[in-house]
Amino acid sequence: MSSLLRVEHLTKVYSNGFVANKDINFAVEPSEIHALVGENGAGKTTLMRILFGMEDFQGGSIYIQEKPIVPKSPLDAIGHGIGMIHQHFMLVPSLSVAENIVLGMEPVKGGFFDYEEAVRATEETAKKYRFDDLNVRSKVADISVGSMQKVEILKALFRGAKVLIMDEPTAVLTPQETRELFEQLRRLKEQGHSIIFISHKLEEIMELCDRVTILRKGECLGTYDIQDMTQESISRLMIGRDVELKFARETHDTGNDVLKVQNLIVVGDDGKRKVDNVSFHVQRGEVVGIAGVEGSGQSQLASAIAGSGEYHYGSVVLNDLEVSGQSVRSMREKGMAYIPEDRMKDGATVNQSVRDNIIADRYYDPKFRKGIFLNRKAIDEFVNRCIKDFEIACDDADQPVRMLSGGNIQKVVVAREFTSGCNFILAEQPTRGIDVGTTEMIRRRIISMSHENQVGTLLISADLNELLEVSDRILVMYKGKITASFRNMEEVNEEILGEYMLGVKKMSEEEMEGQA
Amino acid sequence: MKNVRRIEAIFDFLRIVVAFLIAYGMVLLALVFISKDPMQAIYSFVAGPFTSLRRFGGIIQKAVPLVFTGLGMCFMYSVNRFNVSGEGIFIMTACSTTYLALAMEGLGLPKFVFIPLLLLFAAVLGGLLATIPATINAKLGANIIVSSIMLNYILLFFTQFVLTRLIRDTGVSYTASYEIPVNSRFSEWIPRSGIHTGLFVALLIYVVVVIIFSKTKFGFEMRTVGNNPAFSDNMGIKTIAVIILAQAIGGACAGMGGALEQLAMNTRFQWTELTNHGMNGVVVAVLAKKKPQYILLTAFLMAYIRQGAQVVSSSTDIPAEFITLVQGVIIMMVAAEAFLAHTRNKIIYSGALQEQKKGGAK
Amino acid sequence: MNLIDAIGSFGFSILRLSTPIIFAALACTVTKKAGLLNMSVEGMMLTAALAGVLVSAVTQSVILGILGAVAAGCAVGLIVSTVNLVGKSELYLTCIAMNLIATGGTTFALYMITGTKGTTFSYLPSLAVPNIDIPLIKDIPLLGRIVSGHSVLTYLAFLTALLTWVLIFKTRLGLRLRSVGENANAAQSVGVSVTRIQTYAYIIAGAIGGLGGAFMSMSYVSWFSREMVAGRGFIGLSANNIANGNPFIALLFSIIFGSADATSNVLQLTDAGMAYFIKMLPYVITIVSMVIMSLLEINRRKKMKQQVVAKAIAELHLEGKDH
Repeated sequence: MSSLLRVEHLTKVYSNGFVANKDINFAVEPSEIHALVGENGAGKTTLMRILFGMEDFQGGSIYIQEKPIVPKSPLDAIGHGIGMIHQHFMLVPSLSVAENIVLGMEPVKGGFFDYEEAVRATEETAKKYRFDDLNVRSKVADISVGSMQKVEILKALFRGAKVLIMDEPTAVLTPQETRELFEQLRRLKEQGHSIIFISHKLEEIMELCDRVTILRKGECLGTYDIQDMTQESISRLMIGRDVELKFARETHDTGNDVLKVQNLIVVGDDGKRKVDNVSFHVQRGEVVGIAGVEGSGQSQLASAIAGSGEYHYGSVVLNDLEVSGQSVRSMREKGMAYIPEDRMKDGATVNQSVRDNIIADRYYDPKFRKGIFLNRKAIDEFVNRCIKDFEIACDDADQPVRMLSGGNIQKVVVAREFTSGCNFILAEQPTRGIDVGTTEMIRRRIISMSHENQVGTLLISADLNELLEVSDRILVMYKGKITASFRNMEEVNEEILGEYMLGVKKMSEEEMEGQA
Repeated sequence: MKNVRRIEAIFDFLRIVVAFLIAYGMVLLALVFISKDPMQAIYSFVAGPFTSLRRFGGIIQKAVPLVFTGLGMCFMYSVNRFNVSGEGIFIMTACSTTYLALAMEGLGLPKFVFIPLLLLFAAVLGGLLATIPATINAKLGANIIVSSIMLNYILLFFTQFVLTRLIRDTGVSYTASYEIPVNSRFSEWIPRSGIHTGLFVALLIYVVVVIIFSKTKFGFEMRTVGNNPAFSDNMGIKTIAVIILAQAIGGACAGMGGALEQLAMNTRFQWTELTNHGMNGVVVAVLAKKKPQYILLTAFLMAYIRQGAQVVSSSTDIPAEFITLVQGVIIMMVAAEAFLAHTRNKIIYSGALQEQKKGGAK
Repeated sequence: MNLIDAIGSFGFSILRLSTPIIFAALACTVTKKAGLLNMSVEGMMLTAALAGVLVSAVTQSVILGILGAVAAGCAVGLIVSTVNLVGKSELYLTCIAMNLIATGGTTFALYMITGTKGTTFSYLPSLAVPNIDIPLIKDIPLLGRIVSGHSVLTYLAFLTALLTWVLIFKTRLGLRLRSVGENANAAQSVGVSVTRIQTYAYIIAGAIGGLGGAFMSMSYVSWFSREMVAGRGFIGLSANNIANGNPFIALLFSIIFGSADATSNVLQLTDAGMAYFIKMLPYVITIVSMVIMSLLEINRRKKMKQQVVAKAIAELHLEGKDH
């Protein structure tokens, strides 16, 4: 039987030497819904981008109906029958559904855009694929998110796509819309189309898909029939088990609460509850880890705590004061340190010097000032000490941060945050994408600060190794809620965490209380 | 790594020099074509400004207002806002300072009190005016380019309203205000040079601004906010306040410039259209790479070519306004990120290769 | 009778003075729809005004004169978009530079050709666009006085508003223009070249601005004088800014702004101060409307969010009861 789409020995190396895909093999058969799963950073996104012509590749080959192809651009990929439904819709809000669908291949009559023909053609395609309730004349801005997704699917089908790649399509949908989408996808399957379905939600995969291909750390672990799999077995393959506890764990004292979050609700711009009734606390001297797949509400939680994002219900109390009433400066003065997820945008100002970055939260301190003037000597003394202590590889304090490597940029960030005299650290993905040496240094420092200086730390990380190594306690977030809590690190491993992160299991409140 | 920094710095400088030379060359070429006596025209343009004390004084006269508006634009640029209200503020403060000077004529204040008072008033007024587009933009997100251009025209017509309604001297045949009191005028510093003592105010403000940028808390805040507002928020800097305050100070610079120009160069307020001092301030600031320490140099250069054009114009009948064309070309070249970028990247790249080779040999 | 005459001539002058503003506003409308602010419209008009005079003087043809103006406007648009794309500069700086180049360049060219610095008046035998009477309507007492007897270009301005609307909303290019302006990624993803569409927008804007320039030097007066556009491009820009890309609203505000101009002209003789005060109004209206529009938008977003939050919290309380 000939495959609709086949990928052989596909390898992608980024220009910085990072191998995102290593010898990937998988095939999508006609009339198949094929799940593609993997942790964050497993290489799914890269693989999709390659298939859709948004990324080149260094080795291997791609076949469409056994014909070798090299998608050079999205347009080229569409020409080969590959369509993609992005998470962020590629639609023009003020245009009608029909106009969006024909954009780029508009019918013309007598020199003018033939709207009626566009409507007719769109309706024809909609009918063919039974998108029954779509009014092709309404403006995209006025229709629901679920309908927008239908428009995106229709757009791909209108252009003759045989294979549809869908990137977390249910993330933006309500349960009803999800059910509708699944029916739609099954109908497409019956009509001979195939779908590559990327999702973290294993229950959905079990319900919808025929086969599943699992990626881990850029490698392909193989393709399995869904009948042979359970949510547990998929989760085990995805997460794997290669934890190596490098740091000796010692018992130590913890103090009173430094952070207390109660019934916190954060509503996103799309009207969904990103953080849904979350309560927990962090004591002085302990590291609390938060695990979860991306988009489970961790970043909204972090910005609520850091004072940069609003929250709509409940309370966040840091150092005995409600966050929402305070300026970021006063929170920092009372001891908050923050390592944001996006170091290039939020953690550092890359066009400025190492010096500027390190003193950015304390330049006004009388220590570094003489009246309204900055005390350059005191500043340089301090900055040079930081450069030395944190082994920042730079020419001198004047060097713009953008010229440093990722690891060294993060060292600049932690040099600032760890020397601020903090009693609470909010660390969001502190070691993502940086070298092993720096990673170890950052983890070691987080532990030593909590143990020796009685600092409370909230560590949000997608890296389970990191969480297991560093945390005293781990909470798991799933769909905006806390679904598990582990106090004893001996009893937990990546597999167990994975099951909670992917929503396979969920602790009851009693179970969690027993832990917390 | 240090190499990269040096190459970047050299190229930043080179871009300006090359753009300037190309423009300069264009002028010379044009003079050759249009002039009946090209050698004379070129001589007038290049050396003319230095042939007499008064002509040299003309350079200084022209540079002084550009220093103010150029420094003003540096503040706007430092927080990454293209607020061009300096143009309108310049004429507005010239007009309102005239009004105030006339109103206070009877008090008979001594010069050293009267002039600083007027300049202070102009600075405050300029600061407040620049805050209008700044606030609409920072708080409401409205386009600052459009609103500041609108403000410029509002201020222009407002000055004409004031001029015709309140301060017009009907005793003279042209549209002009009464003469400003003698005790409000800057005096000539070097006799018969046209260089007035306002030059020292310009130098003082220049030094103050350079210090604000490089040595103070506020300078640090502006730099950080301008480079990365999200980061500044995270660091606890009051981003919006810094953005608005920086523009207010920028407006104050332009405002002081307008008043000083009026008190030093004209005995009556008689401008009936926008003077382009503000827009030339943009040119000067862009040429200076938005850094105040270079403003003195770029303002002088700009004043020099304008003075050259004026000498040519008086001796050959070629209109001095053609220099505006040259300014446009300079901005186009300096503003283009890609201008010389290719060469720069090639040099950085080959430098990196060499460094790697050296490293490998070790 | 005198009053009616006065009203008639006032109405006539409104339409006359609105014409260049209409062209400027429509030139900005086209680029606005493609997502770009057209600050170079002032330079487009100025360059075109000179080109119209020169071409008509040389060829002794009005039509060719207008075409020359249009071509000059297009050339300016092409230069701006090319410099911007190739040089990767910031658009507003390119536009400011272009306006300076137009100001200096036209003065310079004027001198080269006529040997004078001020105007081409009595130096160049340039032509004027004819005025036309509209049959029947011209005999209606007041209305005829107001709407008949205008320059061909004035009528063309109104027609251009309609054509701009057709271009934007009824043609393929218009559809692509709007898609590029609103969501360039979406356009790019279906093979619409963003840079090409934006270049087209600038060239079309140049053509429309060119007509405005032709009006200035071939209808409003029949010669070129330096800096004769005198900020009309920016008034057009603000009319378009209020209209937010709708050609008919842009037309309406152009006429409102033209009325301010006309009022100011009338007052100039009797009360010059007041005349200047009136001239401020278009700009004040623009800033005030910018503030109001922004406030409304902020308020709308805030309300929407509040509703969502209220709903979510209400749901939470329901869930709480279920437990």
